[in-house]
Amino acid sequence: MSYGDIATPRIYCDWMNWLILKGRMALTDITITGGTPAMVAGSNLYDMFGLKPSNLQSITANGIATQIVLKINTNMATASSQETSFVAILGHNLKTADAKFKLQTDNDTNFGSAQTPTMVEVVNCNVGGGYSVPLNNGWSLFTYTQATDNQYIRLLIESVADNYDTNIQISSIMVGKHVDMPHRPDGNFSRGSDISNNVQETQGGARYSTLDFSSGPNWYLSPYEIGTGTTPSLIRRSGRLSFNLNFSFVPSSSMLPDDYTGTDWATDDTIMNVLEYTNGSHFPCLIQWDNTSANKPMSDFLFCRLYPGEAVQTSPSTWSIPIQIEEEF
Amino acid sequence: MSLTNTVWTNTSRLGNVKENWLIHLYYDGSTANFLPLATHDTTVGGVKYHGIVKKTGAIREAIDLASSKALSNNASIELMNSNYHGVPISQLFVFGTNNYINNLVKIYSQLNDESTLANCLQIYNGRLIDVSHDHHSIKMQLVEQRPWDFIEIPNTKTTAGLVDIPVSYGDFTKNTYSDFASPQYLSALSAKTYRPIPLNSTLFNKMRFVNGAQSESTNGRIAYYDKNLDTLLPITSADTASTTEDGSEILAGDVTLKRGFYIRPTNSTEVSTDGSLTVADVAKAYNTDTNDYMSISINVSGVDNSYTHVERFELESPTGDFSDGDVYMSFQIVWTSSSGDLTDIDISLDTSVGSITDNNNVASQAKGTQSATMTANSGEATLTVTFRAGDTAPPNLGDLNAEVRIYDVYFALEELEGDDTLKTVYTGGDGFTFDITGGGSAAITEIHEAHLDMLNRYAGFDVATNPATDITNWTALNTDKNWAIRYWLLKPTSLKSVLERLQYEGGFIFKWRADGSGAYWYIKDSYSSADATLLDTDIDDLEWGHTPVSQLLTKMDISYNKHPADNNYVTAVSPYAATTRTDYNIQAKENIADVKLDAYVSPAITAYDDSPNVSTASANDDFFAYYYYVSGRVVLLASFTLKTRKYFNLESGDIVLYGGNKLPYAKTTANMTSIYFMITNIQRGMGSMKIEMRQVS
Repeated sequence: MSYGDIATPRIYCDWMNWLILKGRMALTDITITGGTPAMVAGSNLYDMFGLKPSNLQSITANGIATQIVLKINTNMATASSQETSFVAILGHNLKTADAKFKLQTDNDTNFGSAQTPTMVEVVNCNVGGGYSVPLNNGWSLFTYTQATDNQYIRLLIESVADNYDTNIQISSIMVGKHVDMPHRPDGNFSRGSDISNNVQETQGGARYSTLDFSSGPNWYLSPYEIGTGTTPSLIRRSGRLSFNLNFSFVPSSSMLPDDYTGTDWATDDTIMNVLEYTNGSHFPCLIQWDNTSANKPMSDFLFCRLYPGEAVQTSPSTWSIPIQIEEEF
Repeated sequence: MSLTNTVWTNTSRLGNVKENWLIHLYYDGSTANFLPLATHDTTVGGVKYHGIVKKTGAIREAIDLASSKALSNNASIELMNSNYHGVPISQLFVFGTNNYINNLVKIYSQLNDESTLANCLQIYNGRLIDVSHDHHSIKMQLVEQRPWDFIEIPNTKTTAGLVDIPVSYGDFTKNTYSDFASPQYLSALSAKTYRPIPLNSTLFNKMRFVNGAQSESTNGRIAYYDKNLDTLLPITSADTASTTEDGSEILAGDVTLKRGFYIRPTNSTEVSTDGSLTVADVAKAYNTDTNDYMSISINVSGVDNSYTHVERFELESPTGDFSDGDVYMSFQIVWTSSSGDLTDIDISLDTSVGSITDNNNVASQAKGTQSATMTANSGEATLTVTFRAGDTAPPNLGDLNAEVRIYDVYFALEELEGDDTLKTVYTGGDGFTFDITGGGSAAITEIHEAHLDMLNRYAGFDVATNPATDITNWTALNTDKNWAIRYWLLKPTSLKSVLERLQYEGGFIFKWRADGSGAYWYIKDSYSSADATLLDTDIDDLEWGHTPVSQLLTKMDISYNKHPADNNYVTAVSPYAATTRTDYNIQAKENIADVKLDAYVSPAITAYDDSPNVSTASANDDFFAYYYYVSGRVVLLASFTLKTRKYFNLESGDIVLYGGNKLPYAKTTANMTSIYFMITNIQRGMGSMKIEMRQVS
């Protein structure tokens, strides 16, 4: 996509926070093993699930070759309900650390019959030989499908050659489900960019501006940037992007689940599923503006919160729903 | 230090969480039975919490470093006056079946519908003090527990004498024993490290004084304060150990309160002399050096004459009535040469109530001491030395070259009570030992130790294992503060005011934590880590300030080491913060506080000026240094709203760094890495906390 056009959006919704909020998962269902200690002093495993791409945490890796296992028990025992379909690693230095990773699932906590779903690269994954070997630092996103034998998920991080070259840094890991909107939003949407500055005027008419913030803070590199460097190289976009979208002519089957059973909440792909996973504006999510295009990581994605408006049935079995989207730093 | 709850802290790291406040309203003095309320319905630990809390006011907690006080934490909640078990819930709290007023209230933060209470963070521990309601809603006021309210100490009296049993803390030391048979010089009786104890009775011809609730085994011997001599004189044959009687520990002494001691003159006056005599170093006759001397010498030849020097030695008059006394003089005659059979030297020391006389000396006399009994205390002794030269054979002329050396003039006195109204004597017996669980029986010698013991002894505060394990920051405080105490209370005084005095003089703050446990806070000598480093992404509404000039205190006239008897102080010092006074244009007579410390004994307070400059001292070096770091210099202040939930376990007294880019004044990012702030004020709400902090490094 170019020039800020919006096609049919795909929304990547984190399930870890959702399942914890719903009481299905506990924090202790997320573990990490690896070096000693697994997390570098001052860093914390759970911070990596805080949906804050600028909150870099360090995993012990420098100078060792120990496999790092980040394991999640979704407690979704019925395989068909565990529908996670993507992993996003927002803010990382996997390239500099000389690290690769792969995804496994199983219904056995010991991964006695581990499944290795195929990772489909969306951003910076370079999948091959069963591993993702990111060619860049910054962030990575892949999708997968694993309908069975998937209560447990683990991300295995290994060194590409010999030892890791440095400690691994990761800001935020999203493991969840992506949902495509039924179609593109109405054509007459609005787009804003809030720059938090305060312009004051003197009695003599001179004006001065004080800026509270200009851009979102860096992830590992600049927000959304991928590259081989260890420091941001791209100029950060100014302002907090916001959009007022409206989705009209949404059929009921794309608006609401067939039934409000737990299974439907997990398995359906409606707009209400998205708002369930995000709890409206409670949890940030990642939007891909065109579900068929991801070749411009800086502009094709937005980490944001959704502020849904009131859904209106405009004709039998047809809905219209406004959604305000605000970039999340 | 921060409030600790591992599960809550980990959950808070998720950032976007659901929060519910659980409120336990306990009743009938129970710490187990409570009414479970919440901001919305939930079930925790099998207990259903009724979500009728309409509004939760901010939970406030604050500390004031300048006065070393913790302000009472308070909070308010508003409930819907809904039905509970069939009746309006307002019927429960006052005049109902159970009593909720002045009972315990706990508030917990529950994240993401946590189902185990132990995984919820307790954010308040207080008492319900007021309930008001209308038809629709109920307002409740909460304050922190204040077990010291309405308590005065001493709080016990002797059974029959009805004398307040003194409260005392510290390491007291008595003077070396002295009586008329084995007297000590006053110079050896200089200790002021006594404490007063009141008279309880005079049974069996003994005056019986109340040592305190604690027993004394060796150092109890009471002393009489001689105000004329400003000396605490051991009472002859008084008890060294206390005995238990009349509901207290008693130290007794003979009803006459005899005390014996050596006393030297403190002044001398030349009454008369002869120009042929050479008199030198008169004061050496009564200084404390017994090896130097007053010299009276003569060197005449071919004369028939006598030469006399008269010197009056004057001494302070002890209080009381004379009981017994001796006068002593140590002297030597150096006889160089002479001629004539009438040539000799007469020496006398006359007190008018007893005299030493050594006449007709015609040769050298080795240094020796002579004495005479006195029948009263004359208050002076007059030395008369007469040199004579002459001969019975005409032309009756003689020669004399000699010297009289007076090494020492002193008195042994024994005085009686002489004061029928005396109600107080003094003891060197130590104060209380620890009574708190796990405190051992160690003597209490430091201010913070006394504070903790008072909390325990009078306010009922105790710990499960020991202070080091159960009281936040106790170990660090105990390591960093060696500020010694000598403190006593004879008349009932507000426990709260005493505790606050000890906090001020000891340079620490005690406060209740949100989980109901106790904690001590103080400014440390240095900081190397913080409880949180706050970034601009964590906070909002950041505003910087600095110590206002009105709150600066740069010079103190400090009196400390309280005198046991005369309501004064033994030591005075006037340190000042030279750099601050210069930098901020404080004039010589401005900004000076008069500070009197009743408990503080040591470390000795340095008389800081330009050199040594207090800015080179560490905070806990002494009292002035500590308060220099509090209010003796201009430091950064800041206020902001904290929004990052993982830091919501911060509490007042915690240490934070600022790592953002909205820098104060001329400070740089590099500066800020070593500027540590202490949180002084918190208003805790759901989803945000308003914080004020003050630079302490």
